[in-house]
Amino acid sequence: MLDTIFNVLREGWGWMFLRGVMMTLVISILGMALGVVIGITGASIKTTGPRWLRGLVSLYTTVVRSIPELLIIYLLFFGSVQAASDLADLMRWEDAMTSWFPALVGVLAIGLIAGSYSVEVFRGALQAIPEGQIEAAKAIGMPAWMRLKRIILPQMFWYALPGANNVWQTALKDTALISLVGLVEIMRAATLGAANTREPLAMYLIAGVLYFLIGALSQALFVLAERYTGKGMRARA
Amino acid sequence: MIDLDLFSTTLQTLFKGFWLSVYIGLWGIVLSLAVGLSLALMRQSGNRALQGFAFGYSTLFRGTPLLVQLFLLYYGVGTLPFVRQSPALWWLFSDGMRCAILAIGLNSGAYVSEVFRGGFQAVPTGQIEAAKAIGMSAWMRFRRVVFPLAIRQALPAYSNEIVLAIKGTSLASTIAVMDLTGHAKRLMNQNYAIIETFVIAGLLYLLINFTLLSCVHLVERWLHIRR
Repeated sequence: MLDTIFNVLREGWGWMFLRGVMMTLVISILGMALGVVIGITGASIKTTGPRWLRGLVSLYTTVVRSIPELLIIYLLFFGSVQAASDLADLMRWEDAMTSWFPALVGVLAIGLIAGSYSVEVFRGALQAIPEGQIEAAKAIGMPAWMRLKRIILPQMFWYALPGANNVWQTALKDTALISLVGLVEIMRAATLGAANTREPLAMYLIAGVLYFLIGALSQALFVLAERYTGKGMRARA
Repeated sequence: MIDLDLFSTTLQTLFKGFWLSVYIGLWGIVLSLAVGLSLALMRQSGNRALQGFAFGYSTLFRGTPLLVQLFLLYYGVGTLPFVRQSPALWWLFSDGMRCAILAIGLNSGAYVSEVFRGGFQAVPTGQIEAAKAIGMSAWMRFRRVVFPLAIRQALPAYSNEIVLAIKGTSLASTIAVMDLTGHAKRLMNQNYAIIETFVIAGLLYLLINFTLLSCVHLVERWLHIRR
């Protein structure tokens, strides 16, 4: 088995997988960034927003979390094909389909899915900040922006990191699904390799190891981040 | 706006996949429960080798995408000569549906094992010592003290895993199993009524999850009454 793996890696598939790793990283990082923005916005709305907006955010988290990720990706991909079919000539849709479009769908899908989980993660973090601290900051006359920068955000990140780590690991693995609408990331590289070399076992084992390595490395980064943002937090807690 | 003809054919087609998804999901959940419970027990046993195996298993299966595991089982393992030669193994790995059940069971089992490990660890040691002191056998201790306490702690988190297992069944469509997502995708390609098909398929998944979560909720309530 090991011979086969080294052989396929030497026969040019190593480069293919390297490109796949880059694409997986780009999609999952951009998607996660979008997810964090959605998460923080949603969490703020859910804690302090008006009632109707709160309902809207709850609807979003419930629906997105209870529908399979694959179906959401299909909706975004085939849905935009349907929406854009009239403009096909204008936009040279066929070209777009094979180049940047799957990547865009990937970032949007990962963002929406990660966002739905992030809302709850950040809401928990926001609610964990003692009310008294915010009142104290108000009492000494801190403006809202400074309260956010000095009191809320630094603490919120530490509280949110373990949950955000979960969301990130899920987002990383969800990128594998984007391969099904044609994005060439790790999983698609493995599928193409399996079809070309007739060594599916080797190809998917390589893919599995790559995902595992990225997951383990980012896990280590999260531990570091927790240590960095946790300075002075444990002393108080 | 809604075309009634389209609606009824869509619903009829999707229902064919619906039952297959339910079938795969339920068997997957049964398998994951067996895998998860045995792994959690391995983690609790004093045996170093068993503990190491269970830890490695859950790290490996939680660290790689379900899609990779599914493709490895279906496209990968099927190429091994000894699998092709053994009738029992070939029966298992030649069929997409059985591979999907196996993949979901093995994957979800890794998550379930962590849920149950948390449950087992939450059982106060004093209670186990007391049970030992009055001379309960290991099996009776497990049945009367450890398990009932652990399951109360683990049930809410376990319900998450049920939802994830059901959502995981949608991947069966990628290995040519015509489950709910498989039928939905084919319909989208045929009639281009993407939003409508998607909404109905989404509602059907919601229906499965809602039913299962209600069952868990009933069990939860039943456990509280007896407490």
